[in-house]
Amino acid sequence: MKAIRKKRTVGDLVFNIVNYTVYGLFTIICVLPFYYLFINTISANDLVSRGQILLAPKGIHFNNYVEILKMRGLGQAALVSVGRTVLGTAGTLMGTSFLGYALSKQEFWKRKIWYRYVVITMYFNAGIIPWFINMKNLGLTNSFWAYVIPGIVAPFSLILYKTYVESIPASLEESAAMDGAGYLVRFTRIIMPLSKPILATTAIFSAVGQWNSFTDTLFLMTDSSKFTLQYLLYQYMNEANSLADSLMKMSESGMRVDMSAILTATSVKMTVSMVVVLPILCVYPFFQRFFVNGIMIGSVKG
Amino acid sequence: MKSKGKKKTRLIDQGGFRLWLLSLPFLILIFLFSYLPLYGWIYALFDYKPGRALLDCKFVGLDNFTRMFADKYALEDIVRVMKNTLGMSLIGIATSGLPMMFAVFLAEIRCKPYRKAVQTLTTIPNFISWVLVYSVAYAMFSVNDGFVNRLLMSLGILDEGINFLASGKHVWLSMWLWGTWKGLGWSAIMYIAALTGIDQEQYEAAAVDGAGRMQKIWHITIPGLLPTYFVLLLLSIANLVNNGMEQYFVFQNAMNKEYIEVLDLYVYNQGMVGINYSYSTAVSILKSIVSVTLLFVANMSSKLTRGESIF
Amino acid sequence: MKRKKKWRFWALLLTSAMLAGSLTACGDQAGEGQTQDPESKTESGGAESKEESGTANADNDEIVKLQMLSLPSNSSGIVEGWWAEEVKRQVGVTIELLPCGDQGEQKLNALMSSGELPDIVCFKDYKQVENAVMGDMLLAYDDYKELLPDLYANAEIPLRYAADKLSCGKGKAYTVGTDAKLFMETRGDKEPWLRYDLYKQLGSPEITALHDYLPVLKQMQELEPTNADGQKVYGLSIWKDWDRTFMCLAMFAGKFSGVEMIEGTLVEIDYNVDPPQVRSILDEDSLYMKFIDFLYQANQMGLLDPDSMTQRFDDATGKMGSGRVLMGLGNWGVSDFATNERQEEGIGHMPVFVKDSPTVTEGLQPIGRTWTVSVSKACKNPEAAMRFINYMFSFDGAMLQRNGPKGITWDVDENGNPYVTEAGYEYMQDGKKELPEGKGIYDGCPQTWAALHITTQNPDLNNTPIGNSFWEKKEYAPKDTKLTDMWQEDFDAVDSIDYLTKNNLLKPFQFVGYPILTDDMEQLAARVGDVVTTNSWKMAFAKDDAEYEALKTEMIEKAEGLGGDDFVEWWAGEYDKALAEASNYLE
Repeated sequence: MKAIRKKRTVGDLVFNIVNYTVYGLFTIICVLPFYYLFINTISANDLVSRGQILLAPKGIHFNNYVEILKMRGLGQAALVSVGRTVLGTAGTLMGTSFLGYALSKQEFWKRKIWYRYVVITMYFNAGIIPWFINMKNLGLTNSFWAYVIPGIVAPFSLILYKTYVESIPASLEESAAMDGAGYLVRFTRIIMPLSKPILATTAIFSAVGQWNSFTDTLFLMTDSSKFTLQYLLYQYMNEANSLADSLMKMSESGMRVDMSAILTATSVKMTVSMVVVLPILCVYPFFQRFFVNGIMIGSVKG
Repeated sequence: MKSKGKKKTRLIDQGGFRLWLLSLPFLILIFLFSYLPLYGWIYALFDYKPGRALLDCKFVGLDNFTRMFADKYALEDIVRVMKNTLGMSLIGIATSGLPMMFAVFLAEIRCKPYRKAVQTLTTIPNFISWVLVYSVAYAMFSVNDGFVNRLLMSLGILDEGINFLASGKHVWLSMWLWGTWKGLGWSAIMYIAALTGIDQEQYEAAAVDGAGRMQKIWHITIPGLLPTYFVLLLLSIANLVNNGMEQYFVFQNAMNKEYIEVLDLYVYNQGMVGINYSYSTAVSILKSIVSVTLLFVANMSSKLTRGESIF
Repeated sequence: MKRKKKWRFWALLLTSAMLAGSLTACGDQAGEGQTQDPESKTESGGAESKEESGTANADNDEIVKLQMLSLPSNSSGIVEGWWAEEVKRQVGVTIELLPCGDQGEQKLNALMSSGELPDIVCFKDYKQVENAVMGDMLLAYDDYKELLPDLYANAEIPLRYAADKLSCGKGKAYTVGTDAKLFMETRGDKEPWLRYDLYKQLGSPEITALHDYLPVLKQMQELEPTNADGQKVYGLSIWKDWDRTFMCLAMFAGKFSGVEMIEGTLVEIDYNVDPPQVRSILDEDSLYMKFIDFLYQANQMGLLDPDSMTQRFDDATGKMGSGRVLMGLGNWGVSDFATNERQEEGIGHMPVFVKDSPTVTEGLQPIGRTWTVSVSKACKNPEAAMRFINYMFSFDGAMLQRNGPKGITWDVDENGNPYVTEAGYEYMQDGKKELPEGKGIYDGCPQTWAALHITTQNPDLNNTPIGNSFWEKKEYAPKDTKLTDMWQEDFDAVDSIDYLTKNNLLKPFQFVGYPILTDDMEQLAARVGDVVTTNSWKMAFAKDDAEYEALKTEMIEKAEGLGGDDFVEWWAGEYDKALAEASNYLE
């Protein structure tokens, strides 16, 4: 990295300034709303509902976070969420990368047909009822495995993976094949290490998908020990719809009730999204290492 | 079987077949989770009522498929809705190079902490649900309390607030902007990963030849990313009619409805999704057919124009 | 060699699977640990209460866990707290609510298709019940009569209706309507709500029609152009979240104008004429059209919050709560603004009616709501489920659900009348304050169906209604505020219902069974409704009369073209039929 040439032209300088500025601005635009949500979660709730918080927090408190952390079953749900994220991602990495690798091989038996067989499933949607019955028949209702097994082959990541593997010079593998190494050896010893960046991408996509998903819990799980964090938080967030009916009736009943006692405050909803996003943001930089590592391997391999 | 005779090897001795056998468990998984449930498509041919046996339900043939085009109002709507759907999808496709450019120029930032910070922070919007994005949008753009209106009014540029969110103008553009804001940093990840796969030797060789920064980008980086780009392009072409509806649903109101209603949202607004299960199934079958057709058409044209097919 | 490698691959797969297995097993254990935890807590709690009251009978029988899918409910998991404890003591049942959220109906569909329902189900509409009966998934209450004395005593009419109408001709009651209303409310307030302090400052101008509110609101807005935070004040601030087949808030304007609008349809019923008349909401002289014009005029006068179209319910009630809205079409957020301190200064919203216009109100509903409760055929312990249902429909169960645990939040005095205890008021004022057995007064019982209506008279307690708002107040009850006193003096009545009843202006809806929309009609209403809703909003915010008229013509033409009139005709016919049959269920 330090070997970069010293000669810097004016063009370079202008380019750098523009480049840094544009990225800086875009980053600010991305972060500002998040910042806005954040200051709303720590400001006095009545000020928030009156729309008084715009630039800086007022009446700072952390009760919203405390309230969410006090939620019943949160620890167990977090454990399930972490479990499904780790295992689900591991499963996806294994299944997707191996199948992606296999399908990148020209000699794969009836390759074209099988590749298409995988790809078109992205555009199929059977509907919720057949999906549910199918899962039930497979014994995956109220089972932790329902979080992991269906995600083992992720067609989208598979396509990315296959594309990446195809860009790896075939010569690297050929020499190993000459030595009599089988597919599994070549895959685990040569391809896997070389494809770290795309594995990291697959991992990020899968992990975020696993972490954020709640519909499977909603439809498949009955036992509250298998609820995920995201599902518990979803319950917090989605009340407006189911409440509409009761709210209309409330006016009818002639009772005067504090809305603030009934509705989850907007600030709490915002807190929920913070609680969801923060772990991802903490883990993400860790994955970035693999992108850089990829570069090093790329330069070493030649 | 004929090839077996030709090559004079048994199927089991072919490497490709063994590879297939190794992959079989995964192919079976795909069958179990993606193909098996498709038996449910049969519901589209009936007037299915959940709870009753299928055979007790009325067989209606293709009624559910033709229902979308039943009368002149429906036809008018479909034309308008398809215009929106395709319009917004095409804007998306036309700008599908953005994430790639994002990744390319991001790599040009030499200051590592800065680059990492940008890379991490620009993915944040992807994690905020559309409902909350709308909360933010409302806080920014509402007439009374909106940050933008207050700013413009305090600067004396405006006398009265503008109702940005209830405007029917430039809906496609603003929806594209929101979508890009939310997804750009996230979709760039794929390219950032692909970037690292480019052989560094090429850069060194180019540097020796005295190539400038832009030349390196143009002759090495971009060609290195194109395979990924074309694959993703193909997938998004196949998704032409699937814009999803969450984003449009949260932003829709009476004023912008004419331009914001995409296919998924329209089907929902017509109030048949929850009520009529068979109809919903018919719509999703139609969409699957369109998507898969588009996928193969795009693949074929790629073969014709670029000389290589992707699938 | 190769075989070895292959073996290793599978070994890898297997180990990772086992790893995962151990984790889930862990999860299970932790889960059990968690569910046990509250139980042990419970037992100690139970012991305490035993010592205190000495009445609860020791309950060493096995507790049965029942799974309940309730579409109106919003939470999931095992229900805990004071309600759950009492239910456990009384009938030996714990309730586990299944996840449902806003996709409850989809989930119910999926479960129904799979042929098996959870132990107890609360349906949202009659069509779901019919499908479940057709699919033979429900138990008939009639087969368990001996276990259900309270149910049969207190919900005789809903059961009869279920057997007549919802059994697909089988003649047995497979479900029972909840919240059946046999008596009218005697207390309560009605809309519309006006900033009473400002209204009085203007000398309480007389309001004789819907449009008369506008000039009054304008003058009020001039009196108070901004709230304490300096934010602009509007006459009306509305939202679109609840719109289905028309602008939903029209329904509430209809109420104080003597017109009932039926949600999910395209009709309104005018109670200003006798007998009440059914007509299309798009009729030239319909109240719905009047309401749209009312909004249009309000917008022209700068009274309508320009964010109405883009804000959501939360935003709008937030505005009401911060005093930025002068008129409330319902009471949402009204109490948030009228804090006790403000009320003592005489500030806040109070009902101000259109003079001599009848107010329509929910009438008797002897067959109950369309939320009906059933026990599934797949239930492994139907006796326990029946015990639970019976308890819910008993007066003890209803009193518990509506008022909290006896002896803590309420009690019975020497004359046999129920009263709210001093502690009870504390719990009611602070919903977060936990009762001895856990959970606050409002979130103790799951937000779900209620078996008996609050007006149901309890024969054990001198025929006092179940709901505590109708009870005699003790001397320590919170006093009326200055604002309320002012209003009571001006209207010479205790509250809205009292005033309207005295002046003979309270008109309950006629009782009819609910005309069930066929799928085709539901779809038709949705399609026409889409046009009506969109154009109504556009009309409200039209720039000028010409645009308004153009939008109106377009809406009416399109609605006609889609078959809106057919719907109205069909519905009116069904309504007449239902009206004729209704007498069977009115005693």
